[in-house]
This record gives sequence, structure tokens and C-alpha cells, in this order.
Amino acid sequence: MKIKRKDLLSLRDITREEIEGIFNLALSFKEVLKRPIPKVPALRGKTVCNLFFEPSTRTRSSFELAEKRLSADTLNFSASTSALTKGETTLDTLKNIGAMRVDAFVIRHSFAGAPHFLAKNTSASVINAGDGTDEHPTQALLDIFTIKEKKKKLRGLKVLIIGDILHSRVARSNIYGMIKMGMEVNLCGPPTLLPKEFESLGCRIFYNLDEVLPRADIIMALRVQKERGGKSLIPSFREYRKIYGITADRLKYIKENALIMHPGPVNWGVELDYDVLDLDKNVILDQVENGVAIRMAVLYSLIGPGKEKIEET
Amino acid sequence: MKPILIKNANLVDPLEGIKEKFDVLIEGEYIKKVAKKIRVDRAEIIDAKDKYLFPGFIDLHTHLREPGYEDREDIYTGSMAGVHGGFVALCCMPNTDPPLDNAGLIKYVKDKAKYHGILDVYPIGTITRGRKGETLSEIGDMVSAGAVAVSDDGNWGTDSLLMRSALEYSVAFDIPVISHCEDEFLVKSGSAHESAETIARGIPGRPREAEIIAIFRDMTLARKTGGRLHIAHVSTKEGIELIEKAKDEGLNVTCEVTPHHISLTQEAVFEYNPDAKVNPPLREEKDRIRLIKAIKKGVVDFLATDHAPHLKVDKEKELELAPAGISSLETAFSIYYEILVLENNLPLEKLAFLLSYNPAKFLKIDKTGKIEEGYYASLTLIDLNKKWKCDPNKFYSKGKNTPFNGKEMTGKVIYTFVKGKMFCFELDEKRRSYEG
Repeated sequence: MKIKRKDLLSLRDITREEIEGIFNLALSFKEVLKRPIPKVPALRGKTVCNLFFEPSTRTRSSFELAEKRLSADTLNFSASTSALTKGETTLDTLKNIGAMRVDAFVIRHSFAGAPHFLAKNTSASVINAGDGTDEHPTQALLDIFTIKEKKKKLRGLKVLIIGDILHSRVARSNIYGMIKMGMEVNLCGPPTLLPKEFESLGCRIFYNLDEVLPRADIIMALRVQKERGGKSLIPSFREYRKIYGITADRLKYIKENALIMHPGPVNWGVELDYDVLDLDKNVILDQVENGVAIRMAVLYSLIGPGKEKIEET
Repeated sequence: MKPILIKNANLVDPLEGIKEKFDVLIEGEYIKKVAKKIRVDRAEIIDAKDKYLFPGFIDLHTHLREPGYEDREDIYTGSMAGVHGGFVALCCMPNTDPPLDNAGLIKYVKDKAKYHGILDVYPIGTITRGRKGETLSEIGDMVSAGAVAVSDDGNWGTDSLLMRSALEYSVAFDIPVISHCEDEFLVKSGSAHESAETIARGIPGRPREAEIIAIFRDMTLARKTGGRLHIAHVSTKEGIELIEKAKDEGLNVTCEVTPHHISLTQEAVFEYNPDAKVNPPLREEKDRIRLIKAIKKGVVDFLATDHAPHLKVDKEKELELAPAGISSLETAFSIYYEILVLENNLPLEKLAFLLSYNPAKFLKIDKTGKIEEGYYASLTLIDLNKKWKCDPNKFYSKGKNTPFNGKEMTGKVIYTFVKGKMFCFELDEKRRSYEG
């Protein structure tokens, strides 16, 4: 199945059917990844440029592997070693690389809307790999995919996203995606990082973690973003952990079959105590594993051949 | 110079309304005669049948960018953009490089404008040296060099003592202190109005409270000091309501509203369009409606453009990196006309009052703001029926940054007269179309 869109910028304007289509593709790709030679020629001859204007470990490696598993040629760009340091604009960068005939750009940028802006200026497909505090659609897709894999269903599940919602692109994409899939999204965090405006997106808002934690099927902790906000938003990490951290104490009263998720990178001892690490409930690495299959599915549905089957090598 | 005879024009009198089918004779810099039928032996005749003649527009809020940013605009191109938009005088903001914070620079701007001889430029000096918000500029010296007001436009100035001093000190020179009311700490580097919609899109916001707080502080200080406070580009419902209340209580405060805040809302930036990025930001429909209501009620003293030209290369950027501002001089009248007159039934003469008469009075510009014998022949002739399409490539301004690109407009300036000097844009358009 091929999505009838040029770009994947947001989960806000995507349909449930499109999400399910990506999940079905991801299932087949996940099977491919388990083969002795985990590679298919689905994107042979296609070129994908990973345009990362902001640092990244997981997303970037995940996209690059996804591209390579699909036999695409990849081009890696990182801001710190590029002509951006000589003052070249983002748009010029895109146009110049685009002139070398690239089929898709995977864009990570520290400002909201940057991929949207670039998508308007290129005929290549653009995949948003995280734009400022706006969205991170492939992360949410892999999160929801992981939940579906573990829970065998989505509808009706109670999700609790905890932490810095205001600055979280992961939270936004998950909210849009999860609500579309019929899940109940609850948000919890200090009021300075959780504006009441999020209610208008269809979420419920809580400031007292202990009140909602026992009811959650899915517990997603977000990273406290040290680089954003500054001192006026929370007094200290110590206090944050005490009030909003998934501490060893709190682990005692979460649901037996709850899942604990985190988009990474984790600040151990702040949003999650290290005790979470060895729990069966901890699916953080499953999220990472599924990331490759989800990104293969997204790349394939945007620039893949469409009707052809996924061939074996 | 040959006298100019404008025949059969509908005169827009800011105080008395429309006077149909009058002739106006211009001799030298002045209006020589206004009458039903004027006969002269020798004159350049302009047929103004079905056209509307306004007292020339005066803009209280223009960024001419010179000195320092001549790539964005200079006094020549900004002046040409002004007359193209029907303006006969502009007040230019001091956020140049270096900022207009001393008498020498004020004189430089005035002399440069005089040298070009297009329209009158009235410079606004900074409130603080270097626009740094630390110490007062030499306000008295700037006033003697021709500054008509002071402002640190672009910044509000969180130091309340300094604002108190500015309002107090300026009393001696009877000039307005113009305040850009947005609390810097609250707006940080926000790129749009803060709302559920912009939060959902991850756009750092500028909350309405930043304006409300700033207006409240400045009016409180104006009340204490007796200074002439002028609030630039009011954008919120609560802001204009505070001003209305203060005026009812007799406070000496004035305010202006821009074309974009009465015609657009935050929706214009939902797709991260940098051309709709402006400070204060485009707000919500309830704000837009409330501003229009305030204009109709007479709470708003002036319409002002906040013309802010920027380079295409700077605007074609990520929303958060792009500079704020709209190139506005050449679209302002048509937007005012469409929104205020056509959509909201504001009498045409009210436009003349807000665009010409009141600014002239405010700035104490002599013999300007009305169409009367003995007044300066600073006039704007408009074809209200003319439809045109906004094409920034046809702007005289170097700033092509407008959210109105491609918009169908109604009402066009066809002649602007600045103290008898004629600028004709009707012919100009024909010439341009010949040139293809």
C-alpha cells in the first residue's frame, strides 16, 4: 500500500487507515529484519538524504538502517560539519542537495515547521524526524506500533504521558496518533510544562501523578529537557523526581500488565528510576527495535514502487 | 510650475463628510482654491470624476531602515513606497543601526529625506541610548533636531523606572512616548500568538498577557507623570478595552491599530508562513472584531502601518528564525478600505480622520490634514472601484514580505500630491504594463 501523499510531516492530518497501512507494512518489514540477510531491494536506485540539523542518536541510526535495509543509497548530513557553519541557509542547503537528485529527505530540525517549510520547496518527499517542539511522527508511529504488538489492541487503552508535554514533539505526535486509534490519552506533569490548552486536543490533564498512575495501561515518561525552559519552569530535578518521577516506590502500585515506555534519551534518576531497567514492563528497547521497521514502512510507502511486492534477496 | 486643477473630485472631509464634485486648484505647494467649478487659463487638468480626494495620509509607524539596513529599505525607496500607498508624510522608527538616538542622526534622516524630496519624513528618536534600555537618550536635543516622538519600538523596556523617567522628562518637550507593549520576559522568542492552536503546532507563543501587562504599566505611569503616552499597534481585545477605560477616565493616552491586526488572525501562521510573522502577533477573531469595534467607536486615534520591510533571504527561513514584520505601506489603504469601510460600514470620512487629520494634529504638522484653501496641497486621489491584485514585485518598497501576496484588493491610490508635487500611479501602471 502506498500512501497518497508526498510527505510525512505530522500525524495531525493523517488518517487511521494510513496509520494501519503503515503498521501492516511494518509487520512485513519486521519479519524481513529477522532473516539471516535482513535486506530487501525495495528502494534500490532511490536516494535518501538524512538532513539532521540537530543532534540525534536513535532516530538518525534508525532511519539510516531502515534505508540500508531497503537498499536505498543514503546521504548523511550533519549541521556541525556542513556549510551551515559558514552561514548557508537551511533552504539553500536543501536546494543544493536536492539538485543532486534525492528522492527523499529525512529532516530533523530544532524549529517547529522547518520540514513543512522545506517540503514546500522541494519535489522530493520529506519525512519529519522531529521539528522543534512540534512533532515527531515516526516516533509516535513506532510507539503505537509497539503498544499494539504488546497489547494486541489499541482501542480503549488508557495512556498516561508524564512530564514536559509543552516542549515535547513526541507527546504531540502521540496525542494525535493515539486519539485517532481510539486510545484514551491522559497527561500528567507540572503545570508549567503542561498548559491547559492540551485539553482542546482531546486529552485529560492531571497534576497529581499518584492519582492517575494506578489506572494507566501505558506509562510513557518523557525526558526532562534540560536544554529548554530554564529555571523558571521547574525548581529542581530533585523535586521533579519526587513529584513526577517513576520511582521505585511508585512501581509498586502500577498495573500488573502496564507497559513503561520512554522515547529516549533517558535521564535515569529523574523521570525514571534505574529500577525500571530490568522490569518486563520496560519496553524501551522494543520501541527502538520497532523503529527500524516503522521507518522502513514509512519510506517505502512514500517513495517505494507501490504495487510491487517486497522481494527477497 | 504649472498649476494643477483636479476636476470633479469627491472630497473626503475628515470632519464634515463627503463633498461631491468639487474642483481643487493647486498652485505651488498650496491649495489655492476649492470650489464647485474652477476655470483657469493654464493648468494641468486631472479628471477626477467618480474618484475620491483625501487629505494626504500620514503614517505614524514606518521602518525606513536607514541608516544601517539599506538592503531592506532606504529613505528613498521607503518614501516612494509611501507615496505609492497614498502617504504624504511618514514617521520613521529609530531601530536602525546605529539607532536614531542622537540629534546628529535625527538630522541625517531629515536631511536625506529632504534631499530626495519625495515626502516628509518625521523621525522618531529612541527613548534610551543605543535602544539598550539602560539610560535616557538626549531627548531634548533630538527634539530640537526634528524628532517628533521617542520610542524604543521593537522593545518594551522592562525597567519601569526608566519608562517613568521618559514619560516625565518628555513632558518638557510635549512629545509623545510611543510604547511597543509586549513584556519581553513573557514573549521570549515567540513567533506567533500563544493559543491552543499554536501550542498544538509547537510554535513558541507570545501570550496576550504580555501586551495587557505592558499597556497597564505604561498607562499607570502616564497617569502618574502626565506624559503623552502613545500605544503602538494594539492587538488584543483586553488591551484596547484597558485603553478605552483609561480614556473614559480622562487619561491622556492615544493608540494606533495596523492593517494586519484588523484583517488577519493567527490562522495565517498555522502553516508556518514567515510572511505572517509580526510583533505583536496576529491574534484571534475576537481580538480582530474588538479592534474594529474600537475603531468605529472612536477609541482608536490613528491607523498606522508598522511597515517593516525585510529581505526575502531573511524571510525565507524557518518561522522561528525569520524576522518579524510586514511590508505594509503599499497595501495599507486597500486593507483599511475593505475591512473598515466595505465590511464594517465605517464612514469614508472616518478613514480620512484616522489616516490624515488626526495624525497631522498629533504631530502638529501645519496646514495639513484637510482639503482647504491655504492648506498644503498634500492630497491623495483614490479610485475606490479599482480592483487590483497584490503583487509585491510591483512594490516600490524593497520589502516584498507580505501575507497579502496574490490577494484581490479594492480601491487604489492613483495620484499622490506632496506639497504640490505630483506622483501619478495610474500612468505608471500603464507604463509598467507596456514594459511587460
